[in-house]
This record gives sequence, C-alpha cells and structure tokens, in this order.
Amino acid sequence: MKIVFKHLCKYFGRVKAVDNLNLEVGDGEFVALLGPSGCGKTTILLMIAGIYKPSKGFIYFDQRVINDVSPKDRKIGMVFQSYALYPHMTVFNNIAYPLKLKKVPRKETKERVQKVADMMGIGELLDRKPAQLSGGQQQRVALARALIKEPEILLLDEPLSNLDARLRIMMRSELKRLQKDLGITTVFVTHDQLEALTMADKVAVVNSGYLQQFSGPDELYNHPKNLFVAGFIGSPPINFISVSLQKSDGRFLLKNRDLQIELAKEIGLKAENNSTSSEILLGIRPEHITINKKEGIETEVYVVEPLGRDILVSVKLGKSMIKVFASPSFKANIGDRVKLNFNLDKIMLFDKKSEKSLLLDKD
Amino acid sequence: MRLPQKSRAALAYLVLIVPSALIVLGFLWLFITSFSTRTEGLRSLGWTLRNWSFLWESPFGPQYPSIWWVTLNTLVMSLVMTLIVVVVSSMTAYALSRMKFTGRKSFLSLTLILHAFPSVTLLIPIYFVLIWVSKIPVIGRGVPLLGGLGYNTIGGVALVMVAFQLPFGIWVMKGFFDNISWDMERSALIDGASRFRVWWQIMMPNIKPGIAALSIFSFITAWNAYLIPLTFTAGRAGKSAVLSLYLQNFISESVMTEWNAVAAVGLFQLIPVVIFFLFTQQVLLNIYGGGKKGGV
Repeated sequence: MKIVFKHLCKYFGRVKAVDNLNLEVGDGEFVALLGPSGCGKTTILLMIAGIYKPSKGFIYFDQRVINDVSPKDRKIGMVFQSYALYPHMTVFNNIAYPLKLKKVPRKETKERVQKVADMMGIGELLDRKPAQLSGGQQQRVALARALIKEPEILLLDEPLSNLDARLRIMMRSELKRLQKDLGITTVFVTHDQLEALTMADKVAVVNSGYLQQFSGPDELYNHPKNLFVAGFIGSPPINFISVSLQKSDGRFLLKNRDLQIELAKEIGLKAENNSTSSEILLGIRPEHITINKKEGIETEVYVVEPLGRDILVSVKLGKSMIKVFASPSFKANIGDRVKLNFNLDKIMLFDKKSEKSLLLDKD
Repeated sequence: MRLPQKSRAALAYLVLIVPSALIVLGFLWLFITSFSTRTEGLRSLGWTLRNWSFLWESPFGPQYPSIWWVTLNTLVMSLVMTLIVVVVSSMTAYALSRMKFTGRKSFLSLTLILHAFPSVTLLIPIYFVLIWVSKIPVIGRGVPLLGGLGYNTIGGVALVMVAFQLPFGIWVMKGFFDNISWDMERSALIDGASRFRVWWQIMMPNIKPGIAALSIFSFITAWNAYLIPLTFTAGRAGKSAVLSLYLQNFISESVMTEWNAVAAVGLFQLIPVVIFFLFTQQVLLNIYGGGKKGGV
C-alpha cells in the first residue's frame, strides 16, 4: 500500500511538531524517518497509525484519505520502542490479542499464532509472560503481534534502540530481510543514522518538524541537500571549514587564512551561481581527505584514535578541528606537522545563509 | 557534627518505639480488659468470658438488634461502598488520566478540594437529601439487605460514604493509571480494541495492586466509620445500626458503663481489620507510593 502525505501539519498548542510535510512512501518500500530526538518523527508515525489526528493536511493510503479512520480499521501493525507487550498476558495471548478482538475462531487463531511465532523464532516461548523474556525475544513477540493481522503497513518506532549492540546489528539485517520477504510497506523511526542508512530503501531526514531531504541512502550521504543533512549523516561527522569563494583570472579559489584550494571550473561556476555571498562553507568527509608528511595543506596533529580497521586523526587547521581517516600504518604523534590533501571530487559547498548545498541543481 | 551510624540508628528506633509503645499498650489493655472481670492498669483481677456474652445473647434485650445482625449490616455497607468506590474511581481516574476533555483540569482540582472539605459541614444538607430520597418508592427504603438508599438505610449510609471516599479513590487510581505507559494503550487501540476494552482488558489487570489497595483502604474506612452512620441512621437501636454504633449501647447515662464489655466489642470490631492488615500490609504501603506519583 502506498502512503502519501500532503501538506501534513500537527500542532500541539503552539508547538509545531510537524510542519507542511509532503512525502510519498511507495508500495512495499522500506522507509526510515530519521532525525534528532524531538524532531517530530514519532508524531508522524502516530499519525499514520491514527493515534494522532493531523491538524492540517491529509494522509492517503493509496487513493483513500484516512485522516478520520480509526486505528483499528487502518490495517496497520506497529511495534513500539518499549515493545508495549501486555505484561499480564502470556506470549500466546499477546500475539493472539488482535485476532481475539476480530473474533477469529480459536482453532484458526492457534494455527496462525504458531505460524507467526515460528517465523519469528519464538515458537517455544508461547507459555511465558513477557517479563520472563529477554529484550530481543520481547521484540520478536511485539513483531509477531504486529504481523499476525497481516497488515498492509508496518510501523516501527525505534525498533532497535532497546537492544544491546550485538543484537542490534543482527536484528538490523533480519528486519531488512523480513521486510523484503514479506513486502509490506514499512515506515520506521530512528535517531540513529547508521540504522537508517543500512536498513531503509529511502530515508526521510526530519528536523524540527520539517522534512530536510528524502532520498536513498547513497544520495543522502554523498549529495546532502543542506547543512543539516550533511552534518547529521555520517560518523564521524563531516568537516566544515569556513572559506570564501574567490575568482581570479577565470580560476575559482576557496580561500581562508590557512588554506587555498582551486576548484574545477564547472564546480566553481555552479557555486558562484547558487551562492548569495562569497562566504561559504566547505564540507568534506573524513574519508575524503588523505594525510601525509610531504605535500598539501599544513596542519598539526591534535589527537590520534586507532579504530582497528583504520585510524582517526584529528588535526588542527587554524582554529578548526578536522577529522581524517588514515591507514593503520600511518604513524604520528601529537604535535607533529602533517599535510592534508582533499579529494576535490567529493567536496561539498554550502551557502552560509540559506544553508543549502551550492552544488545541487536548483529545484 | 554527625552522629556515628550506630547512634543514629538507635535514635531512629527510639523515636519510633516510644509512640508505638503507647499504641501497643492501648491494645494490650483492650485485650486484657476484655477477658477480665476487673483490671488494675494492665493487671487482671480475675479472668472471665462474660464480657464476650454479647456474641450469643443480646445484652440489652430483644428490641435491640443482635451483634450478628449489626455485623452483617456493617459488612454489607462496607462491601457495597468498597465496590462502588473501586468501580467508579477506576473509570473516572482512567478518563482523567488518559482522555482530553474540557473541564478536566478543573474537575481534578475540584475533587482535590472536595477531599480536603470537612465532611461535618455537609452532614445537615445531606440529611435533607436522604430524607427526600426516602420518599421515593422502592429505592428509597424497599430494597432487601440494603434497606434502600434513603435515610436510615444501609444503602443510604453506603452512598454517603462513597461520596466522601471518591475524591481520594480517584486520585489514588489516577496515580496508578498515570504510571502505565501510553504505548501499551496505543498498541491495544491499533490491535483493534475499543476504549472501554482497553480500560477493562489492558489497563485494569495492570493496576491490580492499586485496586487491591483502594479496596482495602475503603473497606477499613467504612468498617470503622462512626460519624456518618450515626447521623444518617436512627442510631444504635435501629435495624440499620453498624458496629461502631452498637458499641455506643454500652455507654449510656442511666446504667454504669461496663468498660470490659466495651473492650470486648471493640476487639470484636478490630478482628477483621487486623486480619486484613496482616495480609495486605505490603499492598497498603503501595497506595501511598502510587498515590504520590499521581500528584500534579
């Protein structure tokens, strides 16, 4: 089922939790709502579920407006961050509850519960109470309860945040596989960009009620539309350097007190056309900088953090701190002079005022 | 300067023991007295069961209701009051805790004010209300066991007790409901439950400690009530008398008060409360814990 938001708004008193959201989730797509805590993403999810009513705008399931449809008639399954299992019921009764309310005959209920429980690998736990289960098992029960109704839309609110790190990585791939196998349109909320990028087909980045960008993980990472998305996506985060864009003899230069970079002509032209002033921000990810001791931009090593597969070097460039990935063989001590080279194909440029990317074609 | 750990503990015990000892002494006196012909302080001057004779013969003559009838009255009144308080408070508290409606805030503060209201001031108006209710056929005074809902009926007294107990009950239950996660309720709504079903199948089973605590508390309040039964029944000799009024029979102006018999009846009235308390101490502690969290 397709979900479409048109000019969707939700106000709580004077607080705008969601403001003019336009978004389309395709049939069978796995979409992540990503944003910092309190940005309105759970509000969006609860509006899809029918718990909250939109203040303005419309939600469509396929062609049908469902603003006023009650939650039970929406054919949705939802897994809450806290799992929200019913503690006084056994696992069986928890999973069977939606069927019980639909007055499904007992025999059929039993079969369906067993089937979905086996699928989730909790077939042995049906007689237990939720308190006797581990976090991972509880989550599977919650998933089973959401899936037993055979919903057309699956909603997941921070599905992995209550699991320990190892289990989280395992469930990440399992959830992704499950969603692909079942083909249910799925929307999930997360504040963890890694979860969003790894699991979702498309990611909607939301900040303070606004949709910042809605695109595939690759696009999001490599071509962020604005400063917020660029800064939010990526770990360690992208480096921002304040520079001014200057033109001399037809050459485009990014300059500040500590560095000078020459831009390719088409990039320079685009930036010049899109910018409102010459003061811009240069963004470059840690893996797009190489570090050596021979030639490049002069800097000083601030700290070195070995990560196993590679090492993360923080260097000081003037007043700003820059993070760079280096190969494990790179040796440096605090205070060493080192040199940086930027991969010019990968740099991003942002307008300081509008915070928009200067390298994307205007909408 | 801070006292060492041991002295502090000793001090705490001292502060606790002194007032407790006074109360324990009182009960000890009650116990000894009820089985004695006479006492001198805590010393019995002769043991007897005569003080307990009210159990098998009416000490005041046949026109007075027997102890068993009075006990039944008290039991019915306490149970009815408890049942209504628990059902009404849990439904009201659910609405106040979970639903948005105009007047919600003011309703909450109003119940709090009512709770603080001295009930004595309302006795006379309520008396007139009950007299008026008595005139309604059947429900006024024609219901078996309860008598009815009017003046001088067990039902009427229970109803007034309910009114005075409800604000407290609502606040306590609201505290318990507030502590249940919204997610569970939302989940049930998505699973297809109606609001009523959510209340009954999801919320109520999860606030069982609260229900238990409120039931016990209400029951004990009703069991020990004196002022309201005294005001709204024909008194100690009437067929709607309750235990606390029965006790009053022993204290009259014309005859010397038989304190030993008073002690025995008092102890008799105490028995169910003590039994209750022994089994439910833990739950009772809960009511204050849970209630506090419900505060605004």
